[in-house]
Amino acid sequence: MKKCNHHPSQDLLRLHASGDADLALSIIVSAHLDFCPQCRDKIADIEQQNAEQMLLQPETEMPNFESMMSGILQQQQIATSPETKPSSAQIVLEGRCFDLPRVLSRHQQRIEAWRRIPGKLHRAKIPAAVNGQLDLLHMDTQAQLPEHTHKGQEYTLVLHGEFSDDNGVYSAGDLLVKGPNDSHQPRTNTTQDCLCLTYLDAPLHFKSGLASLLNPFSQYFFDKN
Amino acid sequence: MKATNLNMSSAKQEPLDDWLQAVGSIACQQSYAKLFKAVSGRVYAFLLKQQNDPSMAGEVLQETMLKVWQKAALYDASKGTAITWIYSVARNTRYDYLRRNKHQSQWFSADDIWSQIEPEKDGIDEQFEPIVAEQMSHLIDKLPELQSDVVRRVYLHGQAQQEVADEVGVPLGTVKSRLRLGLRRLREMLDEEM
Repeated sequence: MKKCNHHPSQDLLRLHASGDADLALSIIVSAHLDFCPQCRDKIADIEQQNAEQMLLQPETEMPNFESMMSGILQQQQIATSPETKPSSAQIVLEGRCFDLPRVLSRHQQRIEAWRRIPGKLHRAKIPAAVNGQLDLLHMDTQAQLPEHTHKGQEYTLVLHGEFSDDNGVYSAGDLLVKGPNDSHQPRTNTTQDCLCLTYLDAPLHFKSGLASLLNPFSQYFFDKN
Repeated sequence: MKATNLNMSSAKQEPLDDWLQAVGSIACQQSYAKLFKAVSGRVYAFLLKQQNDPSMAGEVLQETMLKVWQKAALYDASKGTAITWIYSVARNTRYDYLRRNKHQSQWFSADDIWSQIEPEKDGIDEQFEPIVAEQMSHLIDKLPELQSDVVRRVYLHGQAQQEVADEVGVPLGTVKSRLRLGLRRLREMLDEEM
C-alpha cells in the first residue's frame, strides 16, 4: 500500500485515542487509519500510555464495589466469536463503485442520496455530525471547486483517486486540514476523479468574482440543519 | 527512574493478563474477582479524573466491568496487555455513554470507530508463504538480537508466548514488548523496501 503523506496531527490522534474527539472527527481519523499503519502504531502507543496512566491511579473506592461485582457475576457471559469483520461495503455513483471506509461499512444505508452540485461535483451527506457537516464529496475528472476560504476548519480525507491545490497533490489516505485563513482551490486532473470524506465545522466562503455569487447559496455546500 | 516505573507497571500487569484470559477461556469467577479488585478502583479514579462526575463514573465503571466479564473471550493477548484492552473497553463505554446522554444520534457507536483492524494478510496466497517466510527471515536477522529471537520463536516456530518467556527466562510482559517492537521495526523495514 502506498504511504500517506498527510496525517492527522499528534493532538488529533491523541484526542481520538482518548475518546475525546467529536464524532465526525473520529470518523475521519478512523478512516485515515484504514490507510495508514504508521498512525495505527501511534494510536496503539497512545492507548498503551493511557492504559498505564490508568493503572497508576490511586485506587478509589466506591461504596458499592462488592455488590457491583456480585451483580456482574450473576450475568451470563456472552458467547462471542472474535468480532465478525464488517464486510467491505461500497457506495455507487453513476454506475461507479467506491469502497467505503471501515467505519462507515455498517451504515451504508444511512448515507443520504447523492446530490449534484455545480462544478462536476456530487455530495452525499452523512448525518452524524453534531456541530458541522460530514459529507462524501465526489469530484469528477477536470472538476474544480471555486476558490474559497472557510469560517471554521475544513477536513478533507481522500478515499479514492487524487486532487490537487496550489500546495500539492493529495491521494488516498491523505488528510488535509484547512483553517479559517487558508484559501485554496481544489481540482482534479484530466484522468483521475476523486472521492473524499469531508467535514466542515462552519460555512465555506467563496472569494473570486463570479463565484462569490455562490455565497448566498453556500448552503448547497454547507447546510446546517 | 523511568525504567523502574516501567518495570513496576509491567510486573503489575502480568497477573492481569492471566486473570483476564482465565475469565475469557473458562469463565473463572475467582480470576474475575481478582481482576475486579485490582483494576476497578483505578478505572473509577481514571474516569473521575477525566470528568469529575461520580454518578457518571459509577455507571460507566459498572458497564465497563460488565463487558469485561461478558466479553473477556475477545481479549487476544498477542495484541496487547489486559490493561490496554480494559482501557479501550472503558473508553468506548464512556464515549457511547456521553453521546447517549447528549441525545446524539446513536446509530454510530464506539465499536464502529474503534473496530479492530485485522492484521492484513496482504492477500498472500498460501503457496507463497514459504517464499515470504524466507524473505521475512532475512529481515528478522536484521533486528536487534533480543527482538529477533522472540519474533523467530513466536512467528517462525509457532511457540506460545508463555513458553518463550519460560525458556528465555524473562517475564511474559517483556516477551510481548519485544515482539511489539520487533514487529514494528519489521514493518518499517518493509515500508522502506517498497
